[in-house]
Amino acid sequence: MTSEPAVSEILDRVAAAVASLAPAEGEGRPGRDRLVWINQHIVTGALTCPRSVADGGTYVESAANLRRRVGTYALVETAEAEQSGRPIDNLRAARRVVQEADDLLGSNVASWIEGLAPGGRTAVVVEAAAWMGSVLDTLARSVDEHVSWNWQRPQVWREWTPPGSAVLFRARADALSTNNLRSPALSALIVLDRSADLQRDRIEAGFLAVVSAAVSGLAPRSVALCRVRERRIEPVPVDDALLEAAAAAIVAGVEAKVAGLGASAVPGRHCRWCAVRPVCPDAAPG
Amino acid sequence: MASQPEVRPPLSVLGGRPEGLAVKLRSLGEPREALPIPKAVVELLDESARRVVREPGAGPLRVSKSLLTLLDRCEALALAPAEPSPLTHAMAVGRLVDHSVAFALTRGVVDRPSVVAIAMAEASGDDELLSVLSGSVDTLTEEDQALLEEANSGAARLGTSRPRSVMALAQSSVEVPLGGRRVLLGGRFDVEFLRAGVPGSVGILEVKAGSFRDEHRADGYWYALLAALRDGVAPAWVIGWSPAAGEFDYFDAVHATAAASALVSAARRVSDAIDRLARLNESTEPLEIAVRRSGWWCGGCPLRAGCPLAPASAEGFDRTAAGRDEHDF
Repeated sequence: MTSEPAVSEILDRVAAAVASLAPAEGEGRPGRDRLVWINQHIVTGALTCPRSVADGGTYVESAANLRRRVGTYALVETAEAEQSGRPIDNLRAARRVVQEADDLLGSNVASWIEGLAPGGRTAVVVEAAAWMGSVLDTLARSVDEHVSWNWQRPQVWREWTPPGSAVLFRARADALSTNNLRSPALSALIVLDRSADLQRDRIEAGFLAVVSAAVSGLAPRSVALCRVRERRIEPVPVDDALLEAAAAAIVAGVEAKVAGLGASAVPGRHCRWCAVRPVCPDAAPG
Repeated sequence: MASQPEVRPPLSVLGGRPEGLAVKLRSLGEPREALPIPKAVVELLDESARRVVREPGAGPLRVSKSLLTLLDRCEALALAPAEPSPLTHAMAVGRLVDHSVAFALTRGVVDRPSVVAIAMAEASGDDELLSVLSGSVDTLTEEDQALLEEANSGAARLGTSRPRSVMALAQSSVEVPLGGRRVLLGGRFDVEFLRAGVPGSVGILEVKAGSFRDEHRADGYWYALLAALRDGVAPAWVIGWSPAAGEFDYFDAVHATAAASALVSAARRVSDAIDRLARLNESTEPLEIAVRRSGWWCGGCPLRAGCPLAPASAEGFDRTAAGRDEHDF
């Protein structure tokens, strides 16, 4: 459990540290394009190597990179189809989302999909269908009669810019518990489709909890980690210890992002797939 | 020495068309009694995993199909620094076959499956594959094209056998933590068929571009073990399918005794591997205590130059030479 004074104190501390690391210039809130964006990848990536979160390689769209977004919307399609009494399977649901890319996925993604050769769209469908299928199977195995999950379109992003700072925190929840939609103390679910890393995953849950608390004034009671590779749900209770750990990681993430290539490097196996590798003098060989 | 499989389900070769597989796929939509994973399997693996000592922050000991294969061949080879092996033309065609099957299960038959498979590789950002094939179907041989067409048409027929309640998940990753996460077993199924949340209603399809060797049977048992440990019950079946060579019936839970025995056999192999890896990891000089075995694999081994057992002549690296693969099942 969290105590309200403790949450408030943690948020104040994070805000003060962030405003010091990346202060807002001029009066009023800066535009979004002038903010330092901090998401869960940066906060957890800095745990492994602070320099790895520097602006580096160019983002390249791919079927794999789209699977979570298309898969989430396909889950919405599935739920709507079930409600209308005409259930659809994962492949059909994902195909519908890709067909409606213009409306659902934004113009950039839609034009990327539009430019794919025949077969390319199917690759997007196949990736997303596998993602959503593994999520559905995991949830079906972990039935908790007190919780059902609500998939949302557009995806749920909690955003927070601490006063006096030029930072935009963006934390993603893949689903929210429908039983508590009217309550600010939501339980949230994060789908993890990678190997478990207990420390990193816990910080990701904590990041969502901190940003949610900043937005709504109340931390969620728990964050559920949906480990699809293991087909199990791991509840992470949100308590003061989690928020403290996440707060420290958040500040470290902002510090690393602001320092960019000047941040310290921790070379290792992770250098193999690091976006900063081409410009990092300390990258591990291999 | 790795444990040998004790039970050998029948090998069925029906040609490229997956008729038997279609029947099994349809059966996933029907009620079935799940086969619980034998208690001995869980206990054996948990005991091995709990003996593993890991440095703080080192993460779990990861065990994969390829690591098991390397250990079966030579412990030193398994310890050798993993050098990324270049993608060969045959391997690239194998990946295209996977794409072709995924396409067919989703969309059905297509006129030029090779073109579609390459487009799928492009959308997937598989630059390595595109580089090997110069991003063009022109580099594919007539045999390659025929293989892709057979994969497409066979998998399309299979797709029509899939009950609506059964989902198809391409390239489905699975991980199983053991012994308080000291060990992590991991793998990827080419296609996983399942009914969400229905225990035992899982079918695993392994797609091969080429022919089957008997050693692939151990791979099939490994996939069955992974699914069984993940789910707590055995998968309904594990089948290998090659558009060129037909079906290879690895595992079928209907034959409960044989299936349980196959899981125990696979668990013994994995437990043995964990014990050997733990012994090597605990040593300050693991290469000194590694049990070496020579064979055709010495040809590509990065430790060959300093290895007392590596064959001196090129003949020793020939996979078809007499006495090859004493570890082949």
